[in-house]
Amino acid sequence: MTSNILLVAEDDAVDALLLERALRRAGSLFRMVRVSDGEEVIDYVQGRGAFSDRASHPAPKVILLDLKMPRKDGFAVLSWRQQLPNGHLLPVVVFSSSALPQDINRAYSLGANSYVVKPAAPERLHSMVAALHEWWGGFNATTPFLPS
Amino acid sequence: MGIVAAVAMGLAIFEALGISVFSRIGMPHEFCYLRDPKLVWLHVVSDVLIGLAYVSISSTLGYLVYKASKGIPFHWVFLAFGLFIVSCGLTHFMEVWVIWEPVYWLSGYVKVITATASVATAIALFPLVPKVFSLIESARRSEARRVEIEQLNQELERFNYSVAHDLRGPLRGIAGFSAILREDYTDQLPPEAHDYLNKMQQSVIKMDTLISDLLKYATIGRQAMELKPVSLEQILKTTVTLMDADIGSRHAVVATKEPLPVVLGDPVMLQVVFQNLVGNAIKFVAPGVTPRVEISAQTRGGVVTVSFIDNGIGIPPESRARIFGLFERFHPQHSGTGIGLSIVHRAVERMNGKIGVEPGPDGVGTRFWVELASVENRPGVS
Repeated sequence: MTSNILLVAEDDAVDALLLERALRRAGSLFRMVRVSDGEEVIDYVQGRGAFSDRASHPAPKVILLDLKMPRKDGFAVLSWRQQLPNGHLLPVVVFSSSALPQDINRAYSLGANSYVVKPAAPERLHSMVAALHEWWGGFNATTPFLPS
Repeated sequence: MGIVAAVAMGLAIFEALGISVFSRIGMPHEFCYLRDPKLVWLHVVSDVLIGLAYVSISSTLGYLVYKASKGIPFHWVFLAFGLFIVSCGLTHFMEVWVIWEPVYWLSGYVKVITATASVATAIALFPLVPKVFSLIESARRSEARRVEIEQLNQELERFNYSVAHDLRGPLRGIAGFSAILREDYTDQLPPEAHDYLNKMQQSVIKMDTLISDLLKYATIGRQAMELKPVSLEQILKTTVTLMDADIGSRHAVVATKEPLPVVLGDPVMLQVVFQNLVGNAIKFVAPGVTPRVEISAQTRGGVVTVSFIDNGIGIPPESRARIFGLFERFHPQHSGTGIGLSIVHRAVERMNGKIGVEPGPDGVGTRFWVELASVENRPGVS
């Protein structure tokens, strides 16, 4: 059984709020958990610190990853995942403000599974989140990620 | 050969004047060494080695100057040094000769040549000292400048990164919350409030487009680029595919008379040029007119001139000079950021090309022309 956790790494409270609202409207395939920086993503995935209780913090099904965050940024999380045994079983969708080609290329070269530029128009955000919900929550197949 | 002839002629003149060059006087030098073979060979071997080394050093210097040509500063000093050293070598060869043959006069004359070359080089060296210092100083300054440019580039990179990542966040907030107001408080809001919220969102989208276009403008000037043969026909095909939705919704016609040639350019830059010029051509038309843009190319004297001729509303003559400037807009009733043509201008400049605008044939529409290097880059051949 894979969990229904969508781990959202987002330092901007406004972006997180708008995302959560859009996700609620899209459906209930995911339970959204938000962390605010890369360090917390790593802690969550490894079940360390505040996230040591696996029953209430099961391993995520998909990670939605902002790039520019305090402490460890999104690129650092991607590099860490590349070194992580079975890290490839954990799909990462990059969700960033930046449409710069060098950011997109770097994210993919570090193993990102998808790259989405945060839309400014609310309708675009809604259709994007609806698609994300349906695709990564429904259609996309994964096997459970078990951190060692 | 000339030198040998000059020396031979000089010798002949000296002999004619009664100054004997090859005359032998006294005893060979080996008598000074008491004809001790060990002492004689000690001198012979040492002098030969010194002479050979001098010849080798001066040939190396000569080769260096020949290869580097004007690339090294004060190259004549190197040549003077070469002459000085080769004449020093000659002196040592003479030392060997006089051990068995008492040609002391000739040996003396060779020393005169060596002395002349040496003194001339020594004197020529003095005024060079401050020049060398200023050379070192300017090298130091250009290195400092290079480091400075490197730093500026990195700062610009960080600035772009920050614009891309941080500047758009607040806009998403404004747009998002105004949408929430509209959705959650529909009944409480008077109709004009809805109108204002709509306008607010439009402004946000416009600001967002401005930021992303500015970023495109900033990156187009810094993107890695390589000039190589590119098929314009292929670029046009890709453009039409990428703009399919836009072309379809406007029922626009994008046409060519004959296949477009291959030019020396960069595929990414050319794609930017085509997409923006075709996009503009089909966007700025009078209501009710079917947009049409015709693309053609002419090759003359190693230059390919690509024309984009449209049937649009045209550009006011007084605006033509400013059209490629940043944020210049001429048709307020049409949407746009005023950055597209600046991006095109920059892309063309980076390919060492030229761009211009003029009214279309018969004064209808607009003709944009872009000059690029032809692959058969031979001026005069059409």
